Amino acid sequence: MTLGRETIVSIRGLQKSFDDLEVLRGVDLDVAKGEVVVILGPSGSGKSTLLRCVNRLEEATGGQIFVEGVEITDHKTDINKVRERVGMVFQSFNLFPHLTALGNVMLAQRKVHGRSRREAERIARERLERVGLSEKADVFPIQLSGGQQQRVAIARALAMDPHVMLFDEVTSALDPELVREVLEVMKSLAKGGMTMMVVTHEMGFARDVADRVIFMDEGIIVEQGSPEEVFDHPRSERTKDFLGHIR
Amino acid sequence: MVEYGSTQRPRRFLLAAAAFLLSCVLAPGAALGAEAPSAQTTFIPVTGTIDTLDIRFEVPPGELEVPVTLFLEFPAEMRPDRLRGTGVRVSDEEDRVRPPAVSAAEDGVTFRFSASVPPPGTMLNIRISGLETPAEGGSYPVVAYYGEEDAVERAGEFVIPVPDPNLLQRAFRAMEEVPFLRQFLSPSIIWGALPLLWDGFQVAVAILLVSYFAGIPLGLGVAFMKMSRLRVVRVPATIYVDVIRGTPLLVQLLLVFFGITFVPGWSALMDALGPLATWQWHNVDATQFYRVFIVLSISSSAYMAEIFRAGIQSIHKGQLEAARSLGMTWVQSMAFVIIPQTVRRILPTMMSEFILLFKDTSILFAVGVFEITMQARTIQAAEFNMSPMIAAAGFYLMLTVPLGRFVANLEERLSVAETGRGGKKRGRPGGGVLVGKPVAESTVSTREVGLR
Repeated sequence: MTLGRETIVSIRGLQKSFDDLEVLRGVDLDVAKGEVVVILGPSGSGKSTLLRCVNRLEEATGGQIFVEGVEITDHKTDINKVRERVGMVFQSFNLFPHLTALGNVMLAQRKVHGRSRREAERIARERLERVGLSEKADVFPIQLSGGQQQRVAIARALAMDPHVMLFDEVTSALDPELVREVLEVMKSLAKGGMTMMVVTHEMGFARDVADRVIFMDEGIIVEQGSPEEVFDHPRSERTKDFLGHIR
Repeated sequence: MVEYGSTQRPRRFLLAAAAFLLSCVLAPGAALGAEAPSAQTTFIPVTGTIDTLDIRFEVPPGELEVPVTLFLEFPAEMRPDRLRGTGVRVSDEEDRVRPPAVSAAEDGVTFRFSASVPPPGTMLNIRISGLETPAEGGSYPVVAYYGEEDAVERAGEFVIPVPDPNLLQRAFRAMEEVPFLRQFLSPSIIWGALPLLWDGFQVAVAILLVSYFAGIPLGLGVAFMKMSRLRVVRVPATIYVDVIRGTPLLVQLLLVFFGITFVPGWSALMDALGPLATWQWHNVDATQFYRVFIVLSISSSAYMAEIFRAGIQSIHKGQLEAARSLGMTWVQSMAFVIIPQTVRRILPTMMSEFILLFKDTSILFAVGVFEITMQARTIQAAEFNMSPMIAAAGFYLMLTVPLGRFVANLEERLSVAETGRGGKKRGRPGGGVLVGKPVAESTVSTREVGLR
């Protein structure tokens, strides 16, 4: 998979438990630069937790994660520096309600990258245009539809110039007719060469956009391969069962 | 009351002029430039009634034997028989006269000098308070008789001009006539209490402002401590909040206000402060202020800590995650994402805390700090009348009602801003903010905010 390409995220034997509950039980995964990895699996399979460990929103209880060669599971690592390069988009958008769309996209640029107001605004407007919302710059999140909010959230992550982006069920909270506009934005990002780790239930998106599909269940990777391999010729019974239920 | 300035001033001038003319007639022998005998009346503006009558009486020449009598004959409308002994005071500039015995009767007041004869030429200052005011305005004469007992002679006359009461003054006088109304709503007593209550109001507001704004950073610190993942940080903060919210403010006040003076270093600190510890404002000492600030800021900080904690935890944890995932530090996330949202949410509660703290300043009465309640209590005890307490209540309402309305309004507008919909009142309707301490609770666990 990673043949000839630089590895950007490397996960080794990752374990995570909440109290007595083991959510991740030894996950190994390498993501190459420019690769789009879609992670599938039933709820509770640990796919979201895996994603959240990559920018340390969850602390791993075992194993190692390297992002661009830096071990983020090491407590001496400045996690804020790592997070600057790892963008994340959430299921619940999590836009800052007290700021306009533009303000949402500008805030971290100014506080983290130390960009000037003018520079941050220029970049923010450019990113909003990329997600097709340049005319909504001065609108507060409450006045935007779910799809628009999620696109602003993507623009906000993009404004930090991330090297990897994590998408955690970003369309799950959206009305069906709003899903497409978000997926379109993600598709164009993928075409532009962005490295993406995507947890989703959108099979169509996985088939069209993914370089690799990963099927997780009960805290381990059960099966992985190209979309054709996983969707059309699943080897494991659990994968077959899951895909059967989805269709 | 408004008419007071326009009607009273010329009359007072007339009075002075009349007194001067009279004195010329009565004491033609007096050297020019010497103080002339006169009478001066002060009125209570709200009722137009006589507050005090000051009579300056010059002892006439002549060798007399004790006992000597000065008799002031009053018109019947002034009811001098109702004067109490304490309402009459006699003094002279050089302090040469032994105070006379005073007795009041239907026709006038008798001053009996039995120890020694006042030296001729002495100016006696006689202040009479508690005189009845005639129902109608006009000039009322007071005639002075002086001499050995049973041989008094007319020694002078003072004319007391009494202005006609206006409509409001008549109404207020009518109130004073009804015992129940006089007991609770005496216009003259309330009028007299206003300056002191105003002093007390300023003291209360000063204490309120200092304690409230000192409580905010303190409370914020405790709130963050309470949300810490570290037990050693969390437990002391929890105990602090539990103990302070779980004990009566009065107990805390008595304990700290008096107890702090036994704390080693307190008196040394006060000495070191020098002039900073000896100033006084509106009858309240600097050290009283300091001790009160300590008690009230600590108390309010505990309540605020819970408000802040509940407010911060009511912000969806995704907000902090989003901020942190963008590379912002915890402090940045708090400062630019969480706190600004929290402020909007807790603003109404914080303002009701302000109102509650203002009302709590009344408890300082227990340690003798001259705030509103203490002032009212003092006047009430002196006058044997409840009206100052009613006035004190008015002083509290002056601040709490407008603020309470403002809070209710603010809550409404903020809920519109947050949900995009209006009309839905959350929880306490109307003036509910005025009642009881807010017990801010959140179902969000501390774990979620402990995220790093």
